[in-house]
Amino acid sequence: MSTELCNLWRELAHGATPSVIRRAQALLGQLVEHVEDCASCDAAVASLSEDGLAAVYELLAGDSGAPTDENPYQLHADVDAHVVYAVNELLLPQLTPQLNRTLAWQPLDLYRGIDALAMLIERESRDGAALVRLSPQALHAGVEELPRTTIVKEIQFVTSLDESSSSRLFDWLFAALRDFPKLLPGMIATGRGASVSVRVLPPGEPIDLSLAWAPDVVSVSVRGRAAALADPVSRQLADRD
Amino acid sequence: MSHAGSERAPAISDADYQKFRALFFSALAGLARRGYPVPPDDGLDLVHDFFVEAWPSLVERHDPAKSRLSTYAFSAFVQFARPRIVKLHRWRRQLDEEAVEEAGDDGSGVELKIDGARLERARQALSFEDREPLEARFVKGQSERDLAKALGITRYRARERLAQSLTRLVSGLQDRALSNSTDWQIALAIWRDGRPLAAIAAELGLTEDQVRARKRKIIAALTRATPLLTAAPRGNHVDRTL
Repeated sequence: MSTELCNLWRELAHGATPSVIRRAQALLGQLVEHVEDCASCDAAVASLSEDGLAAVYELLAGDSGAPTDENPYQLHADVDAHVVYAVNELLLPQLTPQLNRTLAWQPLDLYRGIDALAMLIERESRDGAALVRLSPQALHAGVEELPRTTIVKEIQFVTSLDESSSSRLFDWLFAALRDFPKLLPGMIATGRGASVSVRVLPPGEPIDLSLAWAPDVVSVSVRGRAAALADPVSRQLADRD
Repeated sequence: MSHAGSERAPAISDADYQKFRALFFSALAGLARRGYPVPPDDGLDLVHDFFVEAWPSLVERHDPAKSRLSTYAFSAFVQFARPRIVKLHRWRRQLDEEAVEEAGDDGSGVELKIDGARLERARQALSFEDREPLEARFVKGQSERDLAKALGITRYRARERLAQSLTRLVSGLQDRALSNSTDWQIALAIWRDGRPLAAIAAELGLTEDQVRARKRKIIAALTRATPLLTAAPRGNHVDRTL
């Protein structure tokens, strides 16, 4: 059996006949476990490029009926309400009036754009850089550089906005990062000249937007105090004391 | 967690399982092409985890008037899998199964020593929840799958706990716990800060392979150093390197 599984992996990695694919699909569980136990198959699978790995998955998927008429990479309904709440109640109130004035996207599209940029940075960070530098022209991670067009395409892909709107959204996100360092959940941004450095924080609990975008305690208390002082009733009460 | 699909959600029929598993493989293909590759064993684990953790509520939430179930499920799976793939890549840097077996050779010819007393103090500072996976993995030599089964969690969660426990253990060490300061910098960068090997290599003027070898040396030294991490005979099953 082991030899057959080795042969199946070899065939799958180099394009397979329909009968090999059917056999692989039938033995899928054993086939996958075999990779963990067989050093040569493990090495063969590990050496596959991203496209090569994708091709293996496609072979194993067969005619899966993957949806083509809608963007399947978008969020699904159960998290929508939470995202809208987090954007409207937590994120936007902490941004400058200028950023709020230039905001031209619905909360879900805005979040999808944030998500697209964050995942792109996380991915590039994984590939070689702890500190990623972002400019309106490119994303620099170690020796790698992603041009603006790639970033915009990723935003376009995740949001389904058109290219022009995705491009403007990227510019808006870049401006917002300079103003609100916690914009990308799980990361901290620091403005440096004409660019922004983004550090991916060490992994922890799953990221919850209501925590990621929670106002700093200090700024809340200062803002709360300022509001109280501005309120005439509070002033009168303060005077009486 | 079995790869044979025996732990699939009870709400799904065999026919639907086959159909949606294929659909999710398509999603994994798309994710791989977009820079989120995951090896087939982890890919199948993700599919099974999705069936167990997300499928029942997904079916309840789905509104046929708004979308087809296949589109909805595909979208939900992508949202489920993508951040996990990113995390799996991060943990791959932090957990190195082969290192438990043998110390790497970084070419320096310097033996790495660990201060056992400091390591013991760091171990004692850990909670039971942190010690449990470390002892199971490093002392008892359990594979990640065995650990997951023993704890009643998925392999993904088992890896998460291992990575977090190792992070806390290293963070609890003091700076002279390792005899070599470069190794100490590497340990902190990998386990406390979750930094990529290439970035650490660039900072320290080493090659990525040298950093990887020193990482293995550190884990091997940790494994030898205390009762917590005393090398123990391993079972026959060896997980692939994360």
